[in-house]
Amino acid sequence: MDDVLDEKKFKKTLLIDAKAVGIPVGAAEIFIDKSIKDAKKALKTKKIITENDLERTVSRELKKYNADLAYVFKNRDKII
Amino acid sequence: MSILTSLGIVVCAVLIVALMQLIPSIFLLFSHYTSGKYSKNKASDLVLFFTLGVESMTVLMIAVIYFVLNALFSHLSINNNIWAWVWSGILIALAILYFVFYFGKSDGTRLFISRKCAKNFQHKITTVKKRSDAFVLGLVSVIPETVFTLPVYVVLILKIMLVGENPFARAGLIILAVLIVLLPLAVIRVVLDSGRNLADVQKYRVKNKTFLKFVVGILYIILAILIIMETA
Repeated sequence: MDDVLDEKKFKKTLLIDAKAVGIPVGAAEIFIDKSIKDAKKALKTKKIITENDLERTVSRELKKYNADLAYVFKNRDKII
Repeated sequence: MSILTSLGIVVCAVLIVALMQLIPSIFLLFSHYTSGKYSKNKASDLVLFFTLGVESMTVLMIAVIYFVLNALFSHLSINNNIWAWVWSGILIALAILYFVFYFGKSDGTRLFISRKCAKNFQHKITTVKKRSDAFVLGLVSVIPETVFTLPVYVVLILKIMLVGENPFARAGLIILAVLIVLLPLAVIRVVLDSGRNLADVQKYRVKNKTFLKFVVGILYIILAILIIMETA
């Protein structure tokens, strides 16, 4: 249950970032879903997945689709 | 020489305030989030109220400084030379502090404020829904940076008080002191409206971080020297 809630919040944050960066919402939903799916696949072998692991992997997957979104996602904690 | 040093003091003070990064950082993140979360009209509205909050706190701060300085200079006989040397010492100390501590050690533009404070700001930015929230966020954004801007505002306001009876010069300086904090916000707004996004602006800021440290540090030192020159 917690996983589903976290993923929804995670996707919502990414969609807000995508819209702000200028990506059409429909396209953003598709590649965000794909990035999260690919990130989960890449982290399947790990016994413990930290938030940092997830963020790093998702950022790497997002970069394949949109470099600006990946940059914003990776650096949002380094602005203030 | 006196007019030149006075002008130099005003220009240095104004540039130092305009080059501070906390309010622009919060504004940048706030503009990004509101444009992603809300409609264009609502986002513009919230950004306007944030700006009003920043401006209100700046005006309040300037008014309090003016009142305190007026009271101090009316009731205490302060030696101008001692005052100039003490204040210059403070500005040089701030130059060193700015250079060493203003930007954090990370590869972004993390600032000197504690991570808890930064996380609080980020949380507030993502949860703003109403105009009052945006206004309060604007008000509060000004406070952490006062350690670097307060001494500069004191110098600027002393200049306003000492400019004589010319009402235009006084009004001009007051308007400048009040509006200068909006200059970086206006620049960011124009850049974002021209089609750039947070990623573009942030990459530029990170690239020029070290240059900015040097420039502001040197401006503090020049300001300190000009204050001493003026009272010499």
